Amino acid sequence: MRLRSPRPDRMQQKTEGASAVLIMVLILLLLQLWLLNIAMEAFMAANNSLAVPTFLASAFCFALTLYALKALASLDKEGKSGR
Amino acid sequence: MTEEHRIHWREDFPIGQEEDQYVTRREFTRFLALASGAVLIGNGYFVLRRKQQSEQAAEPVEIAGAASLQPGRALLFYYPTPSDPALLIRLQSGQYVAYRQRCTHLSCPVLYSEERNRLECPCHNGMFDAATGQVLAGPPPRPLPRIALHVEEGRVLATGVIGS
Ligand code: FES
Repeated sequence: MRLRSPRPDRMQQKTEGASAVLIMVLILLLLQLWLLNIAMEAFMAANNSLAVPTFLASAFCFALTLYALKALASLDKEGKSGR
Repeated sequence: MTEEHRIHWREDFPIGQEEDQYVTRREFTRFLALASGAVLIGNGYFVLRRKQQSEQAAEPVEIAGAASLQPGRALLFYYPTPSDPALLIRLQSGQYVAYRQRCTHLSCPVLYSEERNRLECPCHNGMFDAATGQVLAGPPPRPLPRIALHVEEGRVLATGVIGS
Protein backbone atom coordinates (compact mmCIF):
# COMPACT_ATOMS: atom_id res chain seq x y z
CA MET A 1 0.00 0.00 0.00
CA ARG A 2 1.44 3.37 -1.05
CA LEU A 3 0.34 6.42 0.89
CA ARG A 4 1.65 9.03 -1.49
CA SER A 5 0.41 9.84 -4.97
CA PRO A 6 2.15 7.88 -7.71
CA ARG A 7 4.17 10.85 -9.10
CA PRO A 8 4.94 13.22 -6.25
CA ASP A 9 7.69 15.05 -8.16
CA ARG A 10 5.39 15.87 -11.03
CA MET A 11 2.74 17.14 -8.64
CA GLN A 12 5.28 19.26 -6.81
CA GLN A 13 6.37 20.77 -10.11
CA LYS A 14 2.79 21.60 -10.97
CA THR A 15 2.25 23.22 -7.59
CA GLU A 16 5.36 25.30 -8.04
CA GLY A 17 4.17 26.34 -11.50
CA ALA A 18 0.77 27.31 -10.10
CA SER A 19 2.46 29.31 -7.34
CA ALA A 20 4.55 31.21 -9.87
CA VAL A 21 1.45 32.03 -11.95
CA LEU A 22 -0.41 33.03 -8.79
CA ILE A 23 2.33 35.47 -7.75
CA MET A 24 2.46 36.98 -11.22
CA VAL A 25 -1.33 37.45 -11.36
CA LEU A 26 -1.30 38.94 -7.87
CA ILE A 27 1.38 41.49 -8.85
CA LEU A 28 -0.61 42.41 -11.97
CA LEU A 29 -3.76 42.86 -9.91
CA LEU A 30 -1.95 45.16 -7.47
CA LEU A 31 -0.70 47.18 -10.42
CA GLN A 32 -4.25 47.45 -11.76
CA LEU A 33 -5.54 48.61 -8.37
CA TRP A 34 -2.85 51.28 -8.34
CA LEU A 35 -3.91 52.38 -11.84
CA LEU A 36 -7.55 52.48 -10.76
CA ASN A 37 -6.57 54.65 -7.82
CA ILE A 38 -4.75 57.06 -10.14
CA ALA A 39 -7.77 57.20 -12.48
CA MET A 40 -10.11 57.87 -9.56
CA GLU A 41 -7.90 60.59 -8.06
CA ALA A 42 -7.65 62.29 -11.45
CA PHE A 43 -11.40 62.03 -11.97
CA MET A 44 -12.09 63.65 -8.60
CA ALA A 45 -9.74 66.47 -9.55
CA ALA A 46 -11.68 66.90 -12.82
CA ASN A 47 -8.54 65.95 -14.69
CA ASN A 48 -9.74 63.61 -17.41
CA SER A 49 -6.47 63.21 -19.28
CA LEU A 50 -5.42 60.11 -17.29
CA ALA A 51 -8.61 58.06 -17.79
CA VAL A 52 -7.66 56.52 -21.14
CA PRO A 53 -3.93 55.81 -20.44
CA THR A 54 -4.75 54.10 -17.13
CA PHE A 55 -7.52 52.10 -18.82
CA LEU A 56 -5.15 50.94 -21.56
CA ALA A 57 -2.46 49.99 -19.04
CA SER A 58 -5.06 48.11 -17.00
CA ALA A 59 -6.28 46.31 -20.14
CA PHE A 60 -2.70 45.26 -20.85
CA CYS A 61 -2.39 43.85 -17.32
CA PHE A 62 -5.68 42.00 -17.79
CA ALA A 63 -4.44 40.53 -21.07
CA LEU A 64 -1.29 39.31 -19.29
CA THR A 65 -3.48 37.81 -16.59
CA LEU A 66 -5.51 35.93 -19.21
CA TYR A 67 -2.28 34.69 -20.75
CA ALA A 68 -1.17 33.47 -17.33
CA LEU A 69 -4.50 31.68 -16.92
CA LYS A 70 -3.92 30.00 -20.26
CA ALA A 71 -0.52 28.83 -19.02
CA LEU A 72 -2.22 27.50 -15.92
CA ALA A 73 -4.79 25.64 -18.03
CA SER A 74 -2.05 24.03 -20.10
CA LEU A 75 -0.31 23.05 -16.88
CA ASP A 76 -3.53 21.42 -15.84
CA LYS A 77 -3.96 19.58 -19.14
CA GLU A 78 -0.36 18.45 -19.10
CA GLY A 79 -0.85 17.03 -15.64
CA LYS A 80 -3.95 15.12 -16.69
CA SER A 81 -2.37 13.63 -19.79
CA GLY A 82 0.81 12.81 -17.85
CA ARG A 83 -1.05 10.82 -15.21
CA MET B 1 -1.26 1.08 13.04
CA THR B 2 -2.33 -2.01 11.12
CA GLU B 3 -2.35 -2.27 7.37
CA GLU B 4 -6.16 -2.37 7.41
CA HIS B 5 -6.34 0.95 9.31
CA ARG B 6 -4.04 2.53 6.81
CA ILE B 7 -6.28 1.54 3.95
CA HIS B 8 -9.31 3.14 5.65
CA TRP B 9 -7.40 6.38 6.23
CA ARG B 10 -6.53 6.47 2.59
CA GLU B 11 -10.15 6.03 1.56
CA ASP B 12 -11.31 8.88 3.78
CA PHE B 13 -8.65 11.29 2.52
CA PRO B 14 -7.98 10.32 -1.08
CA ILE B 15 -6.40 13.65 -2.10
CA GLY B 16 -2.73 14.20 -1.39
CA GLN B 17 -1.44 17.39 0.17
CA GLU B 18 0.44 18.47 -2.97
CA GLU B 19 -2.61 18.00 -5.13
CA ASP B 20 -4.75 19.91 -2.66
CA GLN B 21 -2.28 22.80 -2.66
CA TYR B 22 -2.21 22.81 -6.43
CA VAL B 23 -6.00 22.98 -6.72
CA THR B 24 -6.38 25.78 -4.12
CA ARG B 25 -3.69 27.87 -5.83
CA ARG B 26 -5.25 27.32 -9.23
CA GLU B 27 -8.71 28.31 -7.98
CA PHE B 28 -7.35 31.37 -6.16
CA THR B 29 -5.55 32.43 -9.34
CA ARG B 30 -8.82 32.17 -11.26
CA PHE B 31 -10.52 34.29 -8.64
CA LEU B 32 -7.78 36.91 -8.96
CA ALA B 33 -8.27 36.93 -12.75
CA LEU B 34 -11.95 37.65 -12.14
CA ALA B 35 -10.99 40.51 -9.82
CA SER B 36 -8.62 41.77 -12.51
CA GLY B 37 -11.54 41.94 -14.97
CA ALA B 38 -13.63 43.79 -12.40
CA VAL B 39 -10.87 46.37 -11.85
CA LEU B 40 -10.63 46.85 -15.62
CA ILE B 41 -14.39 47.53 -15.75
CA GLY B 42 -13.91 50.05 -12.94
CA ASN B 43 -11.28 51.83 -15.01
CA GLY B 44 -13.61 51.74 -18.00
CA TYR B 45 -16.21 53.59 -15.95
CA PHE B 46 -13.90 56.62 -15.75
CA VAL B 47 -13.36 56.52 -19.51
CA LEU B 48 -17.13 56.53 -20.06
CA ARG B 49 -17.63 59.39 -17.62
CA ARG B 50 -14.88 61.32 -19.38
CA LYS B 51 -16.61 60.84 -22.72
CA GLN B 52 -19.97 61.80 -21.28
CA GLN B 53 -18.57 64.91 -19.63
CA SER B 54 -16.63 66.09 -22.66
CA GLU B 55 -19.76 65.69 -24.84
CA GLN B 56 -21.87 67.70 -22.44
CA ALA B 57 -19.17 70.26 -21.67
CA ALA B 58 -18.88 71.08 -25.35
CA GLU B 59 -22.19 72.94 -25.08
CA PRO B 60 -22.18 76.16 -23.01
CA VAL B 61 -24.99 76.03 -20.48
CA GLU B 62 -26.77 79.09 -19.17
CA ILE B 63 -27.03 79.22 -15.39
CA ALA B 64 -30.61 80.12 -14.57
CA GLY B 65 -31.05 82.87 -11.98
CA ALA B 66 -27.42 83.99 -12.12
CA ALA B 67 -28.24 87.53 -13.26
CA SER B 68 -30.25 88.26 -10.12
CA LEU B 69 -27.59 86.86 -7.79
CA GLN B 70 -26.53 89.45 -5.21
CA PRO B 71 -22.83 89.96 -4.32
CA GLY B 72 -21.79 87.66 -1.48
CA ARG B 73 -24.40 85.03 -2.40
CA ALA B 74 -24.13 81.61 -3.98
CA LEU B 75 -26.33 79.59 -6.30
CA LEU B 76 -26.48 75.84 -6.83
CA PHE B 77 -26.53 74.55 -10.39
CA TYR B 78 -25.61 71.33 -12.20
CA TYR B 79 -22.76 71.11 -14.65
CA PRO B 80 -21.56 69.37 -16.84
CA THR B 81 -24.10 66.57 -16.19
CA PRO B 82 -27.31 66.75 -14.14
CA SER B 83 -25.55 64.63 -11.50
CA ASP B 84 -22.66 67.09 -11.01
CA PRO B 85 -23.62 69.80 -8.52
CA ALA B 86 -21.70 73.06 -8.71
CA LEU B 87 -21.77 76.41 -6.93
CA LEU B 88 -21.87 79.77 -8.61
CA ILE B 89 -20.63 82.51 -6.29
CA ARG B 90 -20.87 86.23 -6.81
CA LEU B 91 -17.94 87.78 -4.97
CA GLN B 92 -18.24 91.13 -3.20
CA SER B 93 -16.44 92.68 -6.15
CA GLY B 94 -19.33 91.59 -8.37
CA GLN B 95 -17.22 89.01 -10.19
CA TYR B 96 -18.66 85.52 -10.78
CA VAL B 97 -16.76 82.33 -9.93
CA ALA B 98 -17.97 78.73 -10.01
CA TYR B 99 -16.65 75.47 -8.57
CA ARG B 100 -17.73 71.90 -8.47
CA GLN B 101 -19.47 71.29 -5.20
CA ARG B 102 -17.68 68.03 -4.47
CA CYS B 103 -14.94 68.31 -1.84
CA THR B 104 -11.59 67.03 -3.10
CA HIS B 105 -11.06 65.11 0.12
CA LEU B 106 -13.88 62.56 0.27
CA SER B 107 -16.51 64.11 -1.98
CA CYS B 108 -18.81 65.70 0.60
CA PRO B 109 -20.71 68.73 -0.75
CA VAL B 110 -19.01 72.02 0.14
CA LEU B 111 -21.10 75.01 1.25
CA TYR B 112 -20.51 78.69 0.74
CA SER B 113 -20.09 80.72 3.93
CA GLU B 114 -21.15 84.27 3.26
CA GLU B 115 -19.70 85.86 6.40
CA ARG B 116 -16.27 84.21 6.04
CA ASN B 117 -16.26 84.39 2.24
CA ARG B 118 -15.02 80.83 1.80
CA LEU B 119 -16.28 77.39 0.91
CA GLU B 120 -16.50 75.01 3.83
CA CYS B 121 -16.80 71.27 3.94
CA PRO B 122 -18.82 70.10 6.95
CA CYS B 123 -17.42 66.55 6.91
CA HIS B 124 -13.83 67.19 8.08
CA ASN B 125 -13.67 70.98 8.21
CA GLY B 126 -11.97 71.45 4.86
CA MET B 127 -11.93 75.09 3.74
CA PHE B 128 -11.42 76.64 0.33
CA ASP B 129 -10.88 80.21 -0.76
CA ALA B 130 -13.99 81.55 -2.52
CA ALA B 131 -12.02 83.64 -5.00
CA THR B 132 -9.52 80.99 -6.12
CA GLY B 133 -10.76 77.61 -4.91
CA GLN B 134 -7.40 77.00 -3.18
CA VAL B 135 -7.32 74.93 0.01
CA LEU B 136 -7.15 77.14 3.10
CA ALA B 137 -7.31 74.47 5.78
CA GLY B 138 -8.22 70.87 6.49
CA PRO B 139 -7.53 67.58 4.76
CA PRO B 140 -8.49 68.28 1.10
CA PRO B 141 -5.43 67.49 -1.04
CA ARG B 142 -6.32 69.67 -4.04
CA PRO B 143 -8.13 72.91 -4.86
CA LEU B 144 -11.75 72.69 -5.98
CA PRO B 145 -12.14 72.10 -9.72
CA ARG B 146 -13.20 75.38 -11.25
CA ILE B 147 -15.94 75.87 -13.82
CA ALA B 148 -15.11 78.24 -16.64
CA LEU B 149 -17.70 81.00 -17.02
CA HIS B 150 -18.60 83.39 -19.76
CA VAL B 151 -20.67 86.46 -18.98
CA GLU B 152 -22.54 88.15 -21.79
CA GLU B 153 -25.46 90.56 -21.71
CA GLY B 154 -26.28 89.75 -18.12
CA ARG B 155 -26.33 86.02 -18.81
CA VAL B 156 -23.81 83.70 -17.14
CA LEU B 157 -22.78 80.63 -19.12
CA ALA B 158 -20.80 77.64 -17.88
CA THR B 159 -18.37 76.67 -20.62
CA GLY B 160 -16.16 73.93 -19.20
CA VAL B 161 -14.45 72.37 -16.19
CA ILE B 162 -10.90 73.39 -15.39
CA GLY B 163 -9.19 70.54 -13.52
CA SER B 164 -7.21 71.22 -10.37
S1 FES C 1 -14.80 65.40 2.66
FE1 FES C 1 -14.41 67.50 2.72
S2 FES C 1 -12.90 67.68 4.21
FE2 FES C 1 -13.27 65.58 4.14
